[in-house]
Amino acid sequence: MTGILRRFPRISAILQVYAVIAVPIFGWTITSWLWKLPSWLNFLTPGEIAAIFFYAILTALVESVLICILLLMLCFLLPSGAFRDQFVVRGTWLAVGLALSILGNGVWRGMTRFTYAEVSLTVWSILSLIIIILLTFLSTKVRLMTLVADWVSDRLIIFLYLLIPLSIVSILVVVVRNTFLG
Amino acid sequence: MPQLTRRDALKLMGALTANALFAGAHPLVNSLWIDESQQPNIIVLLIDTLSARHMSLYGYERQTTPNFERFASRASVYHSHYSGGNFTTPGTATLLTGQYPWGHRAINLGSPVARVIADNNIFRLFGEDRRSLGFAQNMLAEVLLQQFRADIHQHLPLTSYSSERRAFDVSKYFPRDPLMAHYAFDDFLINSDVTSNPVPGSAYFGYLDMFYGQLHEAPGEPSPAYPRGMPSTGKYYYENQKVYSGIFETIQELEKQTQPYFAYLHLLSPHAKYCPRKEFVGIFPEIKVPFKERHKLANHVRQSLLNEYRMQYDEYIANVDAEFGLLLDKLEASGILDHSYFVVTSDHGELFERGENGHNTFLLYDSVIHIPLLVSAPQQTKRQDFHSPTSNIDLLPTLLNIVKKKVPSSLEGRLLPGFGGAEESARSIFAVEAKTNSAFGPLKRATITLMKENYKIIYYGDYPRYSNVFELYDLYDDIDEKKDLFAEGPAIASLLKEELLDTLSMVNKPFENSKNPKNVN
Repeated sequence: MTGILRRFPRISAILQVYAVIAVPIFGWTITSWLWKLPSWLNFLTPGEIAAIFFYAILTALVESVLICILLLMLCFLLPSGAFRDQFVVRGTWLAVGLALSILGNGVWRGMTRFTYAEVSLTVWSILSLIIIILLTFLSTKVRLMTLVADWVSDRLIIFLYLLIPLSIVSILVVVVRNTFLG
Repeated sequence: MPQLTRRDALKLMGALTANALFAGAHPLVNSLWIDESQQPNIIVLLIDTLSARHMSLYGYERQTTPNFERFASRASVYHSHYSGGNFTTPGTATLLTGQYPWGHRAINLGSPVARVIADNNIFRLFGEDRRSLGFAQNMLAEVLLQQFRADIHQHLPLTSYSSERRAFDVSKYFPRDPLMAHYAFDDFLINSDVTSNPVPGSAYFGYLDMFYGQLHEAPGEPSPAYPRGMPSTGKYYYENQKVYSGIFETIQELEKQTQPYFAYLHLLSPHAKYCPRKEFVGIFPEIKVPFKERHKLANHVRQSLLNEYRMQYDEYIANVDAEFGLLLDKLEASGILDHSYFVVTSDHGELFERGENGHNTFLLYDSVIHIPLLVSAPQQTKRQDFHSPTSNIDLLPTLLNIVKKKVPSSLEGRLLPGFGGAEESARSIFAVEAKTNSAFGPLKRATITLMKENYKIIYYGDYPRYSNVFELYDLYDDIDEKKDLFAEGPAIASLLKEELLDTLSMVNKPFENSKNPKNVN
């Protein structure tokens, strides 16, 4: 058991990387929710709009945890020197790369929705993957990238004081709605 | 001038007396079939986006609906029947609640009906003693069925009779809270519709959904069987022959279970994208379509493109008509129509004029609100035609009256002529478009039309750069609504304007006087 646990990074390192994963995901979801809000205000009650918000937060939590698990799986599968020992730096840049790729595609779609200038998701995904691998590889080679990763992950962790309680409330709301309603 | 003999006078008096006695009588009387012991079943087939103005049954020059005409030969046919709104949400809610949109308040895209109105839905009003089934292929109608789910004994999922999935379908995993789960997941988090929601609320799941969609888009591509791709509900592909044979099997199942039953079946085709099977592509010749100036609240679709869309829509109607014909054959052969009322109608029509295409519009011209209504009573063999204006608000009170249930006083409709009601040409019929207006406030940014006798007045409310405008048409002399008579100032214009504005003021009153208008909802 200890041997297995030793293949994973420290809790504090995991939390730092989780913050880098979670902040863009929650930020994106909350921004999108605000974008839809005027439409919902036309026909949903404040309680119903809040329910949607908590469903959204719960989804963001699931997404962020899944991405974090994905990185931990890499720690487990790859040699320690390749990922676990550099977890904060490489994990941060991998998370940033993923977020830029996914959110970048969303922004692109939003900007070009009336022009139908669609880009194949396969092409986008392959290009993104190459960039993410490159970023992750370079992150420990370029000193500036290492410093940036440390600095960003260290500061974003403060948002977890907001996001984790919010997530707990969302779990409670969704569980209650799906246990006692209907 | 021919002389009127005493015999002719007696014949005429006899005919008038009989007409007075039986006007509005139940068609059962006509078919001399009355069985008090057995309650009839009721099947409502709502065919989405079916404009009466595009059906040969109602005089359209393309032969789009020979099978509906066949059905009409044994049904009551309503020639001036109108929906309550110009898209699925208000149109369907009007039928299911018996209220105009200003009453039920389902006026926005995908909105539910007002919470206080929801208790008076068609399923609950039929009572526990009648087994009810609800099925909607249209997501916006499904929202309403979800809202009424506690009153529906058997609620078939939207995906019934569909084939391949093209997107994630998450809300079905939240059976106790499907409505909010729908708004959260299907409408927001994992909805990647390029026009309505280009940026899904969930970054990663939304991306995966788009990826999944790209991998499963093959059925939507043109194929030999479907030259314009297979029809789709957005999340699932489907084939109309499977849907129609599926609903017949469902009705057969209902027949085996407890009777009487009430089935509400809401089918999506011929809703856009118009995807007929290959047999129906290119079957119609070009027709001369009257040109109408672009409306200030319309889009800028050029007329040649509108004509092309009109052709595709007509072909799709012909496809739906063929499937309906097969269903009709089966219903007749199985004897189901012998003990069932069969209602066929729509929720709204479609527009191909004045620069506007489809029904996502602020306009209320006849093509987008004039819908079919055919009702066949058990064992009815003769056709009856009714020309006075009727509305989908009339269906609920009529059906309740048929099954001898109490008709709540809150319902705005009347009994349909032929089913207890009388033909009233002077009756006022309304339709409302208010998709950008708050459901909790007075109707201000709205288009409202009032039809009375042969006249139709349209009021455009508080639209930017098009505010407080009226149009008036004489539908007898100008069926295409080309000549706006309002500026000429006939006496009828001020009468109709006054009635419309008085009605609007009356229905807005609870929302303007209430300190907290949301209480109304």
